[in-house]
Amino acid sequence: MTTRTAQTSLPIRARVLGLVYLMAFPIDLFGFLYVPSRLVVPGDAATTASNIIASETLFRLGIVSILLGQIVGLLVVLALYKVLKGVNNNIAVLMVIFGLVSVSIGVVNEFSQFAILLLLHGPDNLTVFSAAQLNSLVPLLLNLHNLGIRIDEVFNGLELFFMGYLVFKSGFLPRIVGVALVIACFGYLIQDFSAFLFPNLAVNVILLTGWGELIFPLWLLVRGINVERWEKRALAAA
Amino acid sequence: MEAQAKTRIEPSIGDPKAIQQTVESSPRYKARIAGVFEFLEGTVFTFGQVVILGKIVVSSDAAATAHNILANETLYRLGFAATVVGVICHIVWVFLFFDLFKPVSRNISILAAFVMLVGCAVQAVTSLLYFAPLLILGEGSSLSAFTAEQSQALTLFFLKLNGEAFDLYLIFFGFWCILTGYLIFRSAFLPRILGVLLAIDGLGWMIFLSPPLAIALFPFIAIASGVSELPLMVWLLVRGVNAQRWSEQASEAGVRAY
Repeated sequence: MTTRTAQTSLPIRARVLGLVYLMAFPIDLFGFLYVPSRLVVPGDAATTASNIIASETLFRLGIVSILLGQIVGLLVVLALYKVLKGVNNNIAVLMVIFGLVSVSIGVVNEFSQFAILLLLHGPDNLTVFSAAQLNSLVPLLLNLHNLGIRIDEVFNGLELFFMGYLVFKSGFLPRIVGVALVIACFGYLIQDFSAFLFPNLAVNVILLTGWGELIFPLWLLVRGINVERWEKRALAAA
Repeated sequence: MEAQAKTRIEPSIGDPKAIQQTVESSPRYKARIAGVFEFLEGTVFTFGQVVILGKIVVSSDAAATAHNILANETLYRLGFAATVVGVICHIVWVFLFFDLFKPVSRNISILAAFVMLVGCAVQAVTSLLYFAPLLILGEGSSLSAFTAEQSQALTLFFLKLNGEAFDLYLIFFGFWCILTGYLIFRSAFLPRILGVLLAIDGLGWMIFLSPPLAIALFPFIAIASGVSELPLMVWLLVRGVNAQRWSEQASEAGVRAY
């Protein structure tokens, strides 16, 4: 009975998971790249501040899309746990734990974007600061936001490491996808720690190393998982 | 006890006893790895939050603090990176402790892990405050509309906020200590006294619910921490856990040993 439900629903579940996972991409790109590219003028605090005020809805949509991306990340890691726990339950739990911490950091990190809105809408007590001073705090908060994204990436990267290990060992997903996920992990770690330690180096490897994060959801969506082998795994683990 | 365990089990291929051995040696191994990660986290975090900040922060002098940060920027960045690495080690030992105490009470060990993971997230977010001074003082800072004194004052403000956020972490750590103290006390594979001491230590850290009170009582909290956390870590590193009793408790509780 249980095997029958697994047979009928698992391929569909894997594909839905792939689709949801893939949705994170446009959502994240909108919040992390598109919105800042429209509003932030590097080196010009006053223009950045006035852009944000002029396009406040866009700025707020950016925050919402980042928060939405975190919720998607949470759903994905929990669904992946169900798919991958048969491979090695302990490693799957570690994957979830790093995912949970990463989501917490990502959500709390949005406080700095809300702080920008609070500053620019100035509660009355902020009038003791000059407009130039208030404007100059905006890039500081944006930098703090970017730093938080980097810290988040470290934990998200480690989540991908455990994910990649499980995919590699699974037998029901291609090993190359697991390798690509582990490469994505090291890409994040190299990029972020080099930014922490050597700011002038500016290593940018994500475009080279990050493909695993795109290939994995695409594979889940298009090819799904090898159900026969998955069931064998699940039985062995039970 | 260790010698007994060794003579009792004769490893040979296909022998069920050999399989039994890998199962039994695994909790001891895991306990040691937990001790290693606890040690790493403690060392790395102390390096970042205590040693480096101790060298750099002059608590009543914002200008001197700002000067120290810029004069030792690489060291400061290293301190920040250490706190991030510390959180990673922390998460790993949270998991290993959870895995170790599952046989005692699955629910309490899950609760302890959840409480401590919240603490880990707090620590990770705290590191933002640690780094903020570099954003204020460093190259390409946006704060040109502020005077140097104002920027320096803001720097010290963030460093003090970092300290406050760390106190917040300690409350979660304290609650974890109480829960884990209970788990150790109820376990058959670790000495009960370690559990009692850890629970007392946890009560100490939880005094940080009222920071002024905690600062007043800090010497006692530090002593409680020294006589409980250190022995536990050394015990885990040197002795691990009593693997045989762990397995017995695990099979009683129906926990599968991987």
